[in-house]
Amino acid sequence: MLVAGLCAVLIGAGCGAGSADDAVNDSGRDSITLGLTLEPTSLDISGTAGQSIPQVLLDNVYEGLVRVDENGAIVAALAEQYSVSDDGLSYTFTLRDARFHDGSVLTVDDVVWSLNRVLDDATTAVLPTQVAQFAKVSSIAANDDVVTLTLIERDNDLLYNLTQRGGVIFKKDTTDFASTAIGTGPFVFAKWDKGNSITLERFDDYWGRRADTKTVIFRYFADATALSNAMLAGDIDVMTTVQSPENLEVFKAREDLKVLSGSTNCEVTLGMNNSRAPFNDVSVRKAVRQALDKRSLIDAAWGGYGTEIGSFVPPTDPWFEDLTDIAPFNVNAARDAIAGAGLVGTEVKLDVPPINYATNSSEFIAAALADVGLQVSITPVTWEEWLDRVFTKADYDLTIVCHIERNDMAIYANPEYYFRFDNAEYRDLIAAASNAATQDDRVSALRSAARLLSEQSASDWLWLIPNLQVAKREIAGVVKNSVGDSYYVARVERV
Amino acid sequence: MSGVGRRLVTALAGILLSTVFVFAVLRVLPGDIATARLGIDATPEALAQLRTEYGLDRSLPEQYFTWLFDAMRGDLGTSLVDGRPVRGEIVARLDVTLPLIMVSSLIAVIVSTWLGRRIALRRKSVSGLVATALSQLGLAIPTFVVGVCLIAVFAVQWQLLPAGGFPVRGWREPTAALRSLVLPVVTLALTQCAMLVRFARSQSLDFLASDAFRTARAAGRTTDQAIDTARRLVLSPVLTITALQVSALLTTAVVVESVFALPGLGSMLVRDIANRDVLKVQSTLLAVVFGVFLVRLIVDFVNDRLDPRRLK
Repeated sequence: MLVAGLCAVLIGAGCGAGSADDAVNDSGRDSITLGLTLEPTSLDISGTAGQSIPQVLLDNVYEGLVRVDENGAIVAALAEQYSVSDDGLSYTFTLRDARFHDGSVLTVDDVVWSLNRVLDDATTAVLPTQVAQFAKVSSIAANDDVVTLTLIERDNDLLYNLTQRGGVIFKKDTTDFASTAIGTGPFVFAKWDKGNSITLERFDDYWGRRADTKTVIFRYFADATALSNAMLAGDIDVMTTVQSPENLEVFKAREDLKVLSGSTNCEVTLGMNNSRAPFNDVSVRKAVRQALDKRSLIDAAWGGYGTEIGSFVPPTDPWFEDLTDIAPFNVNAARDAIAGAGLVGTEVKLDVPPINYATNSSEFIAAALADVGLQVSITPVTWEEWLDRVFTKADYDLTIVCHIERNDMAIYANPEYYFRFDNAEYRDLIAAASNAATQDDRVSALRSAARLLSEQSASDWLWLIPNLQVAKREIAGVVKNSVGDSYYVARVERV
Repeated sequence: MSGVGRRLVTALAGILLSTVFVFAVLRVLPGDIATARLGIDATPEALAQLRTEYGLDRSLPEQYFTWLFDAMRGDLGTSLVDGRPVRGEIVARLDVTLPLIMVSSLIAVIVSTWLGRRIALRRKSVSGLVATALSQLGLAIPTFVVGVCLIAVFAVQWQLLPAGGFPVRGWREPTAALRSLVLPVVTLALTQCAMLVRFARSQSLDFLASDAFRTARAAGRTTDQAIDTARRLVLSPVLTITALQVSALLTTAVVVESVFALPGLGSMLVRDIANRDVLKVQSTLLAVVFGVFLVRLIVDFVNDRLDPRRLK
């Protein structure tokens, strides 16, 4: 009784004192709040792993010489123009007139200093993965406003890598990367309220088209339910990720909200240990793929949202081909193959990491494989165990994980990678793609590689995770596709 | 004085012991800050180099005593992850967690002593039975369910209050800050109430069966007046239990902070543990343990005043 009364008093006081949407009103109409799930641990974009740092800082606060746009095309950014020599060994970039957020002018010295950081093999200030991406660059030279990168050998991934965190241009002699961020981008890093939010403010001296919204707040929710509730309550303007698509109906039913669906690079992969029986036999691996009805699986595990892919390539890549008919759903064929290999009743383990695309699909997979004669025992594992036992030591039969990196077909060229896929022909194709003289050669090599991967059934690729977001109806300019590490917000606005 | 001295010594010993325990547990956890920072593709050489930079290759006693002596001088160190001073981070988080815990405890103590007495007086009536049943229910329902229900009704359905979060400018937006704490405070208060009511009730029942009560009634006082004389006797155990629960309260606060997406001490600890920011976790836990012992000392002191018999 009294408790209820107290609640009423408290709420009454709250309502009397402020309006219902004061979170927005307080900063004015020219402010947009985004809801995200993973908060950065530090602002150090080059030295700390994880996608959450480039998500907020890349392209918004920091820029590289080039940028990848929403459709995956590489466009000029801090470089006004760029060119690549015919032999692919020399890249020249002409800098544009740009300023850093502290007012200083961008010079070639900043570019040379920044890129030299990622060329230093001995550094601990830069992530080893970034250093590895620039391993083929032998030197950087500059004169006037032109920067030239010289390579030891052709590297067709270099331009893309320059659009990501390794290619970020810092102010020369920056020492504090962890707690502040001074870049050249359309937004100034304004405030980090740890555990809560990061605030970006429009940079008025930006070289290009200025940001459409003055203040953009990235608000972090450790709990996905809290994020959903904040969207339903109208506390945030955009929910940048929908982690349980089965709950989308709630948002669809709302007049004032819209659901946005775009593409990602995230292939949900059923990993099979190619070095261990029974999955060292290509016919068994193919049988597993044929036993799974992907459409029903997507309906059951991911609310029907998701694209079937027949290999390890998302449809946004130029070398994508529909390969779903190489191992189409066919229970009888799968059953015959398992019986033919004398494996009926064989027990295999499925290691399931604690993430919903995996847990949601494990029962379906176990049932489908039981139907063709393989007994699957589902083992839930923690991420620590998964990283240690499955990923590092490859001590597993089957597992499910989403591979989110772009241009990541090379992981199958490494026989030590946890798939343990050891195929010389595939390695040659990946090498050929990397050394291809023209884009056409590269596309054709990767297309053959994707087909070979599917013919060998190196893994099964269950579906491509869609990039699902929810936004208020009046919000425009939200980037739908997730093709790089950044979440670009310069065009987001309230209309 | 000797009583106070003994309490202080016990408290200090307790704090020291807990630092050893926390230090040891953090060293046993799999993974460390180097793997957390460099990700899964890091080479062993890069990891080793980073560990040297963080001083994690020094001997354990050396690491422990360096940290302890710094902490004793009031230097809680800097986070290994983002280089921010730990003390500032703790103070910033207390902006959320302190009001959350204090206001909810205050509400819980007031409501539960009052309600406990009511229930004791009307233990045979329907309303008394209903109240007892409700407190049972309160004990049985997990905190996050309470929080989610409140959000569903007050934030999502009626849109009266925010579903979570804390204003970007903190208490400089006092209205928004207050409003964002209403539902979390109620959630935490309800969970505490459910338990405290039962203590207040049994304490009141004890008093109703006591000689003191019979004497008061015989002297012509009404039941209400008579039980009023025992207000302090009911409050004292409730306060003691509340103090004992402070550390448990922090655990519940982690859940509440997570459900309501509040940037509090609890959510910070969980994140720092995940990032293996060992130094920051050690220092934060030391501050928490210190706070818990401080609350116990204060409650002991208050209880001595409430019930002078304790002093003898």
